[in-house]
Amino acid sequence: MEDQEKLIKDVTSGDYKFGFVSPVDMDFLPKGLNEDIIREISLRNDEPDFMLQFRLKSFKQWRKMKMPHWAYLKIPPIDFQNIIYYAAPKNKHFQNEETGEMNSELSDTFDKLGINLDERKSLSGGGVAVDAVIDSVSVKTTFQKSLAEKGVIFCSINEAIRKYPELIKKYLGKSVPPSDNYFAALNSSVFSDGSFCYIPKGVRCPMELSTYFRINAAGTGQFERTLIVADDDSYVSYLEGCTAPQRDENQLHTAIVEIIIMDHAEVKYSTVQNWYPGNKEGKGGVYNFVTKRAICRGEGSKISWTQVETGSAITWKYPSCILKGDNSVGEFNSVAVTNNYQQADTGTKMIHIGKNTKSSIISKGISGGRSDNSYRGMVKMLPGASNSKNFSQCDSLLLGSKCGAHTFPYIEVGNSTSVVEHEATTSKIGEDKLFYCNQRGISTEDAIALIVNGYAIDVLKRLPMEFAIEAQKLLQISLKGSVG
Amino acid sequence: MKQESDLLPAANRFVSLFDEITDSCPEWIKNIHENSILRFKEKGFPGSKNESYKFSHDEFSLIGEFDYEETEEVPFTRSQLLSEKNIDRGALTVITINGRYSESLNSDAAFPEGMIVGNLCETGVQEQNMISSFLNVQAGKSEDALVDLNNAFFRDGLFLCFPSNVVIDKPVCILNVNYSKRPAFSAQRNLIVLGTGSKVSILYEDVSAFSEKMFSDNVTEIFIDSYSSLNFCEIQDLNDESRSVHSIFTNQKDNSFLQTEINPVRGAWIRNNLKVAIDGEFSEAKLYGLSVIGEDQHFDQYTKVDHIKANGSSDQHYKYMLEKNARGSFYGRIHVFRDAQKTNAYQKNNNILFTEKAVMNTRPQLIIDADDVKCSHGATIGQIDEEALFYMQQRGIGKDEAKMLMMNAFAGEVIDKFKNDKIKKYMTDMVTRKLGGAKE
Repeated sequence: MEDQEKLIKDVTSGDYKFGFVSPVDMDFLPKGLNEDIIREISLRNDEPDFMLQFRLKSFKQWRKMKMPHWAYLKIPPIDFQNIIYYAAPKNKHFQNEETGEMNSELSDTFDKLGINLDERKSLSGGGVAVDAVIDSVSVKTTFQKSLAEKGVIFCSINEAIRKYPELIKKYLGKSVPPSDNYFAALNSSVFSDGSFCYIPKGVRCPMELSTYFRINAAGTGQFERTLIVADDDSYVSYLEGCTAPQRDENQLHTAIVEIIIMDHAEVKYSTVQNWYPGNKEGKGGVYNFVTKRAICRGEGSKISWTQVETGSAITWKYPSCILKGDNSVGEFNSVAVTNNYQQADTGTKMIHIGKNTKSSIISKGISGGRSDNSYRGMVKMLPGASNSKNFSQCDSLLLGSKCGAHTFPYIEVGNSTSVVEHEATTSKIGEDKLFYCNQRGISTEDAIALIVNGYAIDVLKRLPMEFAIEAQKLLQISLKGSVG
Repeated sequence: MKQESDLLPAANRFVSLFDEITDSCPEWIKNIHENSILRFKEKGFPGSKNESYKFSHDEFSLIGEFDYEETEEVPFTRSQLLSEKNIDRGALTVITINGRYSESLNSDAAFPEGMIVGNLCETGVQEQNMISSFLNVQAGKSEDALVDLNNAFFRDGLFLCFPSNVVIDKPVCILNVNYSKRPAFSAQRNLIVLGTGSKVSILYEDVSAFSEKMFSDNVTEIFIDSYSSLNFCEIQDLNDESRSVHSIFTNQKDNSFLQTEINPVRGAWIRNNLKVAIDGEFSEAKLYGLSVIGEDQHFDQYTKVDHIKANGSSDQHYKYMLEKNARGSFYGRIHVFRDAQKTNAYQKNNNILFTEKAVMNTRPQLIIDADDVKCSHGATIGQIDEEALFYMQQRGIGKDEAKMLMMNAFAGEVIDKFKNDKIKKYMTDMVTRKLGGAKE
């Protein structure tokens, strides 16, 4: 019996390669959620009073709300008092500013994750500015200076709250108000760090910006907040990545991403979500409850969400677009993979308010093992959204007889000039296709990887280069052992 | 939008009404009534938080004032009633008043051999074993509060049985007359059973006798045994003040076939729930519907298809045409159970909005728990193709005529699938009549 357990552990640990724990000396707040904890988080972040008030108001709101149960998910009860809401490395400085000496605890962690926080090395590799967040704090933001030359502000959200309170006051909570939903209220009360990005008028951000989230400490939840503001005629491509150690306990990740886009600006937001999905028996894994929303406020503005979701035990995530400006465009491209006992309920909302707005949804769900994978999406054309268009395509691929694939679209049209088209298909990989590959000497497992990659290519090709390669590898790993 | 709590007074009124009306049904049916009122009391009317009634619940607040109607005697003769309507429905007509089988109105009818027609309660005494193995078997499992309400209030109903190997060539028409001289609520119940190897076509016509406000809460349970085939067509031609919820439950055994054609034609507010259980292998269900919705009308179709057993197939196609301030809603869920391998399930919902004030909501959903399946759904909401219109105008066809041609073509895709030629003609004429005045 012990041998068997060891074997299972060996096999499972082989698949999730970011499951290590770094020996970082951490500073914790006690477990539990109450006003004192919120005040303490605010104090530790050295925040102005308006932020504390924002948090307390959100907390008040959260206490009135109830855990949502409408998703096609089986969420075990979560004890919100048994979570550590703040955990920070004792030595937060990634590099000693005077001596230039690196903080080996942190740099080793990010080296191991393959995240390059060394600007010189990064430049030769194409140049991506990174904001690295470990548990509750941002430890390093690269290329800040060179971005500042163009007027781009890229820093941790705590730094932004202190340095640019006016911008924060103007935009924080405007896209996702604290009362929006249960998890948004929770995040608004306790978020400890995250990234802030402001692209000024007419600036095309010279490099891709990215945030890397890492949960390291045990018993903690991660509550980060990202705010991106793209002023008139600007452009930015933003990447988000995440990993967590392999543990038998479930960890909570509740984030908010808010994007505000002005006239003729464009934001491209790409995510490769690879939180620890739990082991092959469904033990452990991250509960990923995320609210992401972009408002296309300006005329002709554009948002493009691209996501590859392979991790997390439970995913509850609906990156959405509010197309307020006339002629604005929203795109949502998603590949969601679930295996073993993973559950995902993910999709988008396209709210058309402005005239001539356009949106497209491409969602590819892949389920294996005993997992459940749902697409849930809303397309709403308000009466004023004349001549607007939406096209949605949601395909599901089933790789085993015990998994489930579900589609829940909601379409509401309130004017006579808009056109909405939705189509969805569900099927398994054709045996003829597998047979064709087998005939040519390709093993069944490789053939599945090949077919799945082909199936997801519409979405993968929209990812920036580095991400696309990583995502393809991830797809292969995630689906290992999903068939037969 | 009304919350569940806003609808509480109306629900309470029905709970107290339950004690006021007499119940002379057999004891075992009384038990159904009593259990169901408790279930209804617990739930109340569905409000904005209820997913399946999200867009169709405001009306429930109105009916709290209505009286309970159980009239089954009407001052009309059979021939008067049959001559009234414009569908040529053929000879085999069963007349029901507020959902109850009327002995006097059907005494002249010549039903074919093998067909059993009668009252639910009367047959429920004589043939308790037979009726109790069907009545409320499907509806009893429903979570729908409106089904509970029907279960609590129906005091009789129509029982229609086609024993094994009965094949009836001509369509059987059920003419249901909603009869009340005051604003009234009525709970109507039908039980239709098809024995092994039978083949039947049913036309269910729901009409109003007067222009009085009525709310009818109807439940029809249909059982289709192995190797049987049923074509069930419904035409709802109610008065402009009528509100109606009709929940149809069907259960199919091996190698059976079902086609439904649900067409709300007239009425202020119509909600049709169609719950299809494909509970046998190699069975097929085809579900079609066409709604042309006009001023101050609200039509809502809810379909749920459960593929429980393997090798089944289902095909759904619903079309809506909305003009003026019409409100339309479609909810379609296909659920393929784990054991229902080799299922093919398709669903299409196409909608045309003619005006700025019309609103359409559609929610096509797939829940797939088996892997060796082919399932798809498609939904569109749009307008008449301007380019096609222009093309026809270029060729000398007037704009109105061109529009009509296109609207008929749009509706024709569903109408062509209907089995009965008389219904096809009736529906085509209805589209032309209703949309003939729909010039912008």
